[in-house]
Amino acid sequence: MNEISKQALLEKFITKAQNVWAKIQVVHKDSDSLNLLLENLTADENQILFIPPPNFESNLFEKFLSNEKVIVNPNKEQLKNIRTGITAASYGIASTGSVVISITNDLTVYLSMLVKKHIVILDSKNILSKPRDLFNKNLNLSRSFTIITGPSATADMGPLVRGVHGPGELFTIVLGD
Amino acid sequence: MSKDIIHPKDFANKSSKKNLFIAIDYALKYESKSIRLNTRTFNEGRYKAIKQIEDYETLKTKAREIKENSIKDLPELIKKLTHTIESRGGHVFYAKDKNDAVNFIREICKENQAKLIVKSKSITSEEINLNHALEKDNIEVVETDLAEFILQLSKEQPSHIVAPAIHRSRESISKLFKENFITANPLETGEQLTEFASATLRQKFLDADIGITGANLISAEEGTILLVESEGNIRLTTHLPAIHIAVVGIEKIIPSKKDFGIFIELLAASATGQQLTSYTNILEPPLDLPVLNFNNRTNKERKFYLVLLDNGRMRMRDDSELKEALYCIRCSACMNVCANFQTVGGHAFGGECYTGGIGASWTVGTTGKLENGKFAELCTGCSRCVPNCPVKIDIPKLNTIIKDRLNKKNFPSLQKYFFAYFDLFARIASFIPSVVNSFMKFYPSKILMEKLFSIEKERKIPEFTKETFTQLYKQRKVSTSFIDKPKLNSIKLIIFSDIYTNYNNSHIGINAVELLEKLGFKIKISKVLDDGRASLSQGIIKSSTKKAKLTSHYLKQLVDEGYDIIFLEPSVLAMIRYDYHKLIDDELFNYIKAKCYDIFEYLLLMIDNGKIELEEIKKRITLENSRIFYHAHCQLKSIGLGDIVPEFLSRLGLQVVTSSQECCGMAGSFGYKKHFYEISKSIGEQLIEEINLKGEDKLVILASGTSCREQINGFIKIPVTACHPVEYLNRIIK
Repeated sequence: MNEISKQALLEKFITKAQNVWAKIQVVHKDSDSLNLLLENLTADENQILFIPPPNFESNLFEKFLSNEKVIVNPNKEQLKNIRTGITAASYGIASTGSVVISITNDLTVYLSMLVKKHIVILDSKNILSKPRDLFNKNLNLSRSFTIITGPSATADMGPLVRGVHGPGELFTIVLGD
Repeated sequence: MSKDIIHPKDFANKSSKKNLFIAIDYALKYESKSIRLNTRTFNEGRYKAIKQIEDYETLKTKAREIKENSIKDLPELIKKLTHTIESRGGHVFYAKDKNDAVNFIREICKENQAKLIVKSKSITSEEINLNHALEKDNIEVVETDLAEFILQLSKEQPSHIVAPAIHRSRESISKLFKENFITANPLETGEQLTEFASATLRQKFLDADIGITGANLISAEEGTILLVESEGNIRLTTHLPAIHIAVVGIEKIIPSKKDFGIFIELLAASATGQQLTSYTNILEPPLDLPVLNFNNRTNKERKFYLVLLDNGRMRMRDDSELKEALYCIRCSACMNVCANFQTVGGHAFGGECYTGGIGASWTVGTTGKLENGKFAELCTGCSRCVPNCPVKIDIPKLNTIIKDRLNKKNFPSLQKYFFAYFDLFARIASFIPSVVNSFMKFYPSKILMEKLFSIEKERKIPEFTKETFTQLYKQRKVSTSFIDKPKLNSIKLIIFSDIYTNYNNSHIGINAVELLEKLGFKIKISKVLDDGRASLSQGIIKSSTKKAKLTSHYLKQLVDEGYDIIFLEPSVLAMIRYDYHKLIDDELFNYIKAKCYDIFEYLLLMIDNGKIELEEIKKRITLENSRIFYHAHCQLKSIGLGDIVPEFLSRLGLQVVTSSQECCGMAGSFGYKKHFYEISKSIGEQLIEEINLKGEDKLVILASGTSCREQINGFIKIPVTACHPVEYLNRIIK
């Protein structure tokens, strides 16, 4: 894909994500920038549970992992009172502003599910055009996955309310080159 | 009627007309406001969302094809899916009927010593009445979708297949919660109610032994389930408990997950007007994911049970007419776009679990009882659902078939005969129009009509004109054209003289003749024929087919002779251009369809082809300086011509405000029927409210449909009469 269409996809992704009330920020793909943003976003937390995502270079999280609040590879018990979760996204979808979370054989997916605030990290090179691309292209996807489009929401109680059984806040960090 | 005495469950089964009528009264009184607000919000959202899908029509065609082929290949797909699930350690049970399904699930619960079950929304599980059976076994079943959570408290049936508690306002939910929970938490705002419910439910998720879901789709090749949701409760239901049971109707199986993309884009847009809902879950259970066991569950290993539910579906598949209902992907677009549904919702326009236009065939199909589909009478055939269905189901056709079968079983009522054969009445009345008109206005005759035909006495039967269109046409002085004619010399044009134009609206016919003659056309008018719409609306298909055959053969002769045929009544044009494909052979249908035009569609075509000069017309216009309000006829919109009149007027430099109502609510005979009058009135009042939004002195109301004009003129409180656009244009073009 050429640079122009990559940039166009990124711009569309940002607009569409904002349309579905996801917060979004693009940062440079280096340990310092990412760490600064993650520290800001988790400043209110006493504990941050974190499972380093396998689809990113390990040195990217070097700074963040040295943060003393971060518990790397937490156990099940530690998940009980979790408020903020950080996970990676396998893909992003430009036309809908969605992120794709893989369901893997560890506790990662719970970090996107049991929390009030979900921070998701997406590599800008993994932005697809449309939802259908997830199914008709040969991608590196887990067998089970969830396409997340904005925070959880309901209109069942009358007005639209964000934050129901899933996170009320979705923050997407896009790693640019 | 006291709300405390009557409960929606009491009239959920619509096998008696009495239940249907009670349900309508109840819905109008207690539920209409919320339903209208919510369905109209979904409806507007859908229009916006589908505009975002560039290849919407192509996706619809693909989705339809996939569903058609899947139903055709269903036995093979079931075999394949069973093999796929079993080969990765899951269990599959084919349930022939609801007892089969319920008993199997009860066994699974016993075997796994389940005490607490969390459930996500599943209309299929409502169909088998699962909760009731499990609760009898002393198992706590918790509905986790907030709408279903509300209904579990109120013990009501769903009023909408996507938003089951759509009939409830925030205030009524607040009252319900306060009656059912003792808590220090405030329970007033949407946020407070949501927070309370989700906190209550979170503990249930953590403690649950089993999670039960439905499925939007399941693929045979990969055994992948598609589950879409907004709240996040499906994620928790499928990920937290070690055991997952999915209750899935066999019609949800498609060959491969590679086609999920088509459906998720269509489904989200059509259902809630979103490009995607918050969570689109693509799951291959049993999930390869550690179980948390927060409640020290003994179940450490994930298990997956797939209950494939037949319960009448194979019988529907064998029914060549009702089979189409199986293509439904349960998006609810047909409900949100339906004026009647917007007014009464699924407690009236619905059965025990399936609601709306598509609900009647599903209720008949899954209960095996034709009588249960009596609420099909609430489908007026306005056809607004047809272009809005993502799998192109002809829902009015399904409802006509149900009405027809009921008519054959129980004989049609006198009322149905009266409306179906209105053409005969009109032909007789035309001999003595003044006598008939006076009789119809006479109060005792209105009482008599109500007794005999259940025609609402508040309604005015359209008057018959002293001279028919045919007579006026013969007597007229040919209008002189202001346009240089040579370009139009080769055109042979004929106006179709339908029953309403000939006997009730001859002035509209003659206005059309005058206008077209002024523009330089030579005009003939056709024989007077009943197109068969009236019989079709009453569910008397045999009579409708007979009339359609007669009319189409006559139209064929006209086309053979080289005529272009102009229509003034939208319901007649839509009948010929759309509904005839179900009644006459394809070749004849396509042959005549190509030459039948709405008058303004035709004029625009002539302008675009350079046969008429727009500037010539503009020079002849005397502006009236009025605000123009236009209500497009429902069926005209559904054949894609809803914008024709505004487009024509705007090319002439006239500003038009267009109505946002899907249908005027009269819908031919519907608004005259005593038991449906209040629904019709409620919709009519919405339209009037829209017309009266501004209070200028000069207002022109345009509506092409006879029944739309009757509806507007019946309820409008200002001294303005709605007229056909052709009358207005003939007036301003000198």
